[in-house]
Amino acid sequence: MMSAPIFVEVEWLSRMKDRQGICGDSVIASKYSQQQRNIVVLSDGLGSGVKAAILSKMTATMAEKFIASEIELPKALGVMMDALPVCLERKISYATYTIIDSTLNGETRVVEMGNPSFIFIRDGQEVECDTRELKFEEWQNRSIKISRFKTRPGDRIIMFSDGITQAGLGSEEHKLGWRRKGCVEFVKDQLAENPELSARVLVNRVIKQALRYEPGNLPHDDMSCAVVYYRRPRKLMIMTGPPFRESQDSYWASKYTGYQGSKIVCGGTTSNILARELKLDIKTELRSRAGLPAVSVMKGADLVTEGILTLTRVCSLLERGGEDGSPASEMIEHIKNHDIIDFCVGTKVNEAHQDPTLPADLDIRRNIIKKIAEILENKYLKEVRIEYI
Amino acid sequence: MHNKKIQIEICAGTTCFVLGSVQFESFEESLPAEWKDFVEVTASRCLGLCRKGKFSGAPYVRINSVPIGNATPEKVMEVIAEMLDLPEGLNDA
Repeated sequence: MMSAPIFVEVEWLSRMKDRQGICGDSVIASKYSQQQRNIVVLSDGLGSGVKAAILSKMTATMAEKFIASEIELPKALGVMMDALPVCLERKISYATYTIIDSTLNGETRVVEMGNPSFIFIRDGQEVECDTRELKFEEWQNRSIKISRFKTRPGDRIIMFSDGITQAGLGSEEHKLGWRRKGCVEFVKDQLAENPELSARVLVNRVIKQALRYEPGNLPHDDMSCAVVYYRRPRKLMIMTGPPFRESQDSYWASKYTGYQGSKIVCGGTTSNILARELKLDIKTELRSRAGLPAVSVMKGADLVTEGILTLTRVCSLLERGGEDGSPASEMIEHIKNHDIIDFCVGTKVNEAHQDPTLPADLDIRRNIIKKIAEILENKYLKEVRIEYI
Repeated sequence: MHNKKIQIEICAGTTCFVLGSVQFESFEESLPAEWKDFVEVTASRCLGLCRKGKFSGAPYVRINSVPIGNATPEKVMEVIAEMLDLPEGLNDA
């Protein structure tokens, strides 16, 4: 029997130390589709600010490349430690790191140096992993822990910088800080409430909770948390544009009704075609939101929006991050909550949009979708499939 | 007495939005109080009129199924006023 495909949701969030202009932690996540492999690195640079940011970024980048290229681990880790610049104040080159390297068949290894130990959660409980320690002759004060285990659907790996576990340290209320133990309990409570909590929501909650421990809710150190969640994929279809031939309208409608997952309809003509073919009502709000046409409501759709202007905004928001309260932001929320994004793109061009007096934003739909797909695959590690018709 | 409301459909499609349908956002609120019982304002995801290109240009508003091109709130108000003056004119914009 074939098992259902697994999706690896990877999310992370950082908060920089209060009164710093840059976060000294770095997280890098890469997906190697051909090998069905995900690599996530969280590195915490010595100190804070620019110096820490450079150290952690260098470390995370090197770690990701070395791990991906399958160079022997001790050799790769030795090169990394030799390569880091030495801190003039402390005379050490230092950036701690945690590396998760996992394949879709479950083979997973975690390499750790100096960060709080990762948490492996299965069925809502923390599970101990087989871990061995690696020592280096040249680096007596360092040891590296390597854990190997096999993941299965529903498992989560949580890693963080010490800014999280030490949140509140020295304060009246929490003299010892939140500690790793407190974080484990918090994660377990969150998952007991909602066993299918997404990685995205979990990282947000962990950071929020850590901030609650800090006096004045201000981070006294850089804080980062990354969550890797192995789960059955959540699918979202974004249907946009009328089919090139009108004779394919009914096929479009059957795709809409037959899709097993969430659905977004993006475009006036597209929604009209579906409404006509499936005898559905569309109700549209009159008020625009944040400079984009209003959303509509149609049975079976999680969101109905205008087409090209909204997609153009989606593209730019995905690129630069942030949200603006527009229907594009709403669409991005849906996208982020799903793992597989299926674009169904009708290729008929609305000639009215090609009028040279209209803004250049009215680009050809295919170009925008192509760009969005690239961003979703490379920056958000989504699996994207596109069907043109 | 008018027994059927005048239907005003404002296009919220791409072309109409870019060319100014946004000026109709508070159109319903701006109607004289005595008209409100006789006029119904709705938005449409897209009226599909720009594609046909023969109704003089976006933004479009449809009044009782009759398209009005280059629509402005003033222009639509005028049409409504004329229709409300005609007891039998409600279905013939």
